[in-house]
Amino acid sequence: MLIALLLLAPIFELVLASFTFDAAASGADRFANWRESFSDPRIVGATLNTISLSLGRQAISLLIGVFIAWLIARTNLPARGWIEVGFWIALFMPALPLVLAWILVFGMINAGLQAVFPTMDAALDIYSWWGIVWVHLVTSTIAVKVFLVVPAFKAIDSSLEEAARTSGASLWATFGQISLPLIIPTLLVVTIVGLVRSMQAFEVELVLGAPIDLEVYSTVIYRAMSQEPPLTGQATTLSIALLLAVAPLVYLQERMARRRRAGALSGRFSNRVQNLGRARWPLFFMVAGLLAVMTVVPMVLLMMATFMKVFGIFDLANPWTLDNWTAAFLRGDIVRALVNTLKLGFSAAAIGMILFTGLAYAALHWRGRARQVLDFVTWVPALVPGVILSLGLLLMFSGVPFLRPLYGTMTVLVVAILFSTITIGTQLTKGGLAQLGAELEEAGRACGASFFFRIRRIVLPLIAPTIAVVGLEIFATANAAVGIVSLLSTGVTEPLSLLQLNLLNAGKLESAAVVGIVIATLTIGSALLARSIATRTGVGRYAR
Amino acid sequence: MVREIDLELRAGEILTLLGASGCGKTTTLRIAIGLERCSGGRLVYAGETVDCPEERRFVPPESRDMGMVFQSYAVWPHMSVYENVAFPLKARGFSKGEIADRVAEALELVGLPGLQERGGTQLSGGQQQRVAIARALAFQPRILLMDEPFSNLDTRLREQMRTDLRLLQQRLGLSILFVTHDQGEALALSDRVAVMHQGRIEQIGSPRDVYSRPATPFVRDFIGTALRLNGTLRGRTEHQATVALADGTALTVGGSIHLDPARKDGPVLLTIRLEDLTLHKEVRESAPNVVPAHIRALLFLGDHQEAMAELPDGTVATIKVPSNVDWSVGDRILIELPAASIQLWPAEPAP
Repeated sequence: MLIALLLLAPIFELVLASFTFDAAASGADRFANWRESFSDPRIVGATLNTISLSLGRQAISLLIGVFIAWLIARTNLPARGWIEVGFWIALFMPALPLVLAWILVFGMINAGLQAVFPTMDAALDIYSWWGIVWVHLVTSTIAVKVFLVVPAFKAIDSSLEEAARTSGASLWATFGQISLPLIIPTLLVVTIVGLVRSMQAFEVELVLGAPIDLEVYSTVIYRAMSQEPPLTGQATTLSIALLLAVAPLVYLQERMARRRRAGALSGRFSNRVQNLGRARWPLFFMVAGLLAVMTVVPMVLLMMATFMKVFGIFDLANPWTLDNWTAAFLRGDIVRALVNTLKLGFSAAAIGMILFTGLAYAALHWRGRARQVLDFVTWVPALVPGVILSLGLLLMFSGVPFLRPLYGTMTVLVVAILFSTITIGTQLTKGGLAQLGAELEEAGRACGASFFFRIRRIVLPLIAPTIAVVGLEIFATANAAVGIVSLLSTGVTEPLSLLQLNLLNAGKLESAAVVGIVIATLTIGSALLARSIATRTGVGRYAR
Repeated sequence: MVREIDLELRAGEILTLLGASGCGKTTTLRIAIGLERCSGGRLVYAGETVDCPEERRFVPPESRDMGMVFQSYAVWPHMSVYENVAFPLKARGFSKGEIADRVAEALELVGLPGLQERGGTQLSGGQQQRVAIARALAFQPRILLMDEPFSNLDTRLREQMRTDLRLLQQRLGLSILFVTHDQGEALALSDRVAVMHQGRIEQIGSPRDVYSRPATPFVRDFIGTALRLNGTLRGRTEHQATVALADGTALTVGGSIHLDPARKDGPVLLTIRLEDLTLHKEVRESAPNVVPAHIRALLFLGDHQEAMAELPDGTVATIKVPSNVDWSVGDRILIELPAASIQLWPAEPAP
């Protein structure tokens, strides 16, 4: 119950604030904030942008992602195992460093084109609707689709496809008429998850939308809070509106996911793959090329950018320099931010590993009401966009008297990271515990072992790999998190991700690139470590 | 894994590939329809080469016009019964009206009329089985390939389906290539049986041939159960041999002799089907080809009894006797081994 209160407190604070701050402060008109917010034409524009960006991203990424997932799971695409790992890495590519890399790539392409056709205007503009969609697609939106859909395709009994082939259907007709319809339930869930995530997107829009006044919901909230004085009333009303818009989608997804689990396949199962024939190698090069565009290309260019005198300008007499790196480490702010990020990552991981294991154990062993409440509260943070959670926590830590001393400390950031990882962390650990089965622990009980002895000597050693994976996931999240910590950090506690955001906003792109490389290295490193633990021990494979 | 196969499916026959799991029978079937490709050799269907790596020729499964029934049935769960059966017809571009006619006909054929709108997963195992067969037959192929189609059904249903399939095959004049590991099914259903072992065909012939005249030790041990006796070859003519058992009993062998023609003596193995044995209570010292035994146990099973008879060398044979025979444990009896039913093999090292 205490945990439930703690988890729901930020949301409660939001609702409260929307009726008490700013226009509603006098108490005369409690709904003033609501009315003002929704008569503002900027908000209407942001709503439309949020919707169109979300739908655009999802439509394109579904088409591409599902096709690639099918290639990986159901065909003899060369090196499909490695390609799957590649998309898994792409899933962890931190958004902000990649935004920077793509600004550079677009600039280079434009410069190249103008060198050939001097009269031409800049052909590609990254500061645009399509620019935002593109960066989202190549950072994680396609990778998420691949990641979530591959297991569904792998679960198809290949005799269902072979029966179609022997019935006279071609490879492509089999894909369209058999394989694809069979995973429709998964596709619906994946689409909804994608829509929810799109509506929560923050940092890409913040950086690429600003120059052209393209606002989305989350950036409007962020700007309302980061101006002086902050427009708390407007920010909170918008937050609640967005929550209400997202909630039914999350509910729908939960229900579908549950129903899907019930209808498991049975009988003899074979997973032979379909032969792509002549299309095999061309498709391999297409997919591998896309993967390179999503991972290697931006990383290499970002690395190059850190050694450039002026970001993106190659035609200086000598464009290369080491100054950015030396300056970065001499200036002290990067070192301090790195220390902050590591502190944040390690403390959140350490606390999260203990906390989520406890929650997962409780969720499996409690019965009745208590369990339902627990399930619910560990799901709620998944539906709250990062910026809004950040706002809620800000209000909580500045509004509740006994929490106020913590405001501006690292503790607040750790709490924020724990909030944003509680759902995935608990789910993963629950999966690990459920796999164990109750009998192993009951056997310990039958042998006369006490509760703590059982936990220490039986349960923990057996799920240690799962817990390690959870820890690394938390660490990776802490490294790359922007939205969730955006409103909570003060200068002293500023982690790398926010330093990069500020450098970007200040136009110091070379230094931002240096920070981006550091973030990407930490994130991808811990993600790879998690993957290798997970595959070697076979736990939590598809739970993310 | 398949090493070397030379096989011909004749028009209008049921040819069964029989073997233990992993012997290559399913792979052979999958090569036949093109779900797998052979690494060498030639596969000819109706005069046309459909798979020949040496000539770089391969006709994909969708163009081979063979019907196939899978072990898991592979009834598509997202389609109704009608859509499942109509699928091969749609893939071939039949008109709407023709599809409706043929689907109805196919479902009628397998005894499933009236279930057209049922979803693929709302069917029992036996019904899914019938839908799978209807789907494979819908476009009226000349060849039907079946991969262990009855192995997921219960015993009673399996026997029913066996009979139904035989009747259907005779009515339509189909050629069926059938894969099973169940020897009873293979013997009951087939015109010819090919016994496979380690990727090769050990023996191919009518069920009677394969059962009564096994050509290799593998087929002998794989199909049916036989009494095995060790002995010493004493002498032989072209079609007959005399063998002495360990206790000195001499037996005349008149069945197949699988020995080097030059061999005239040395250790040998005698085998005889249990059902060819006859038990006698009263001792007739002069009778030929009899071996003494005594009854160790007697199980009453209603329509018959099972007698476990122990021979002098310690071998125990379980033999059916009529239920009205009034014997008891410990009785001394004689087992008669008809000369024509005994087969002679080279001796095998003790396992």
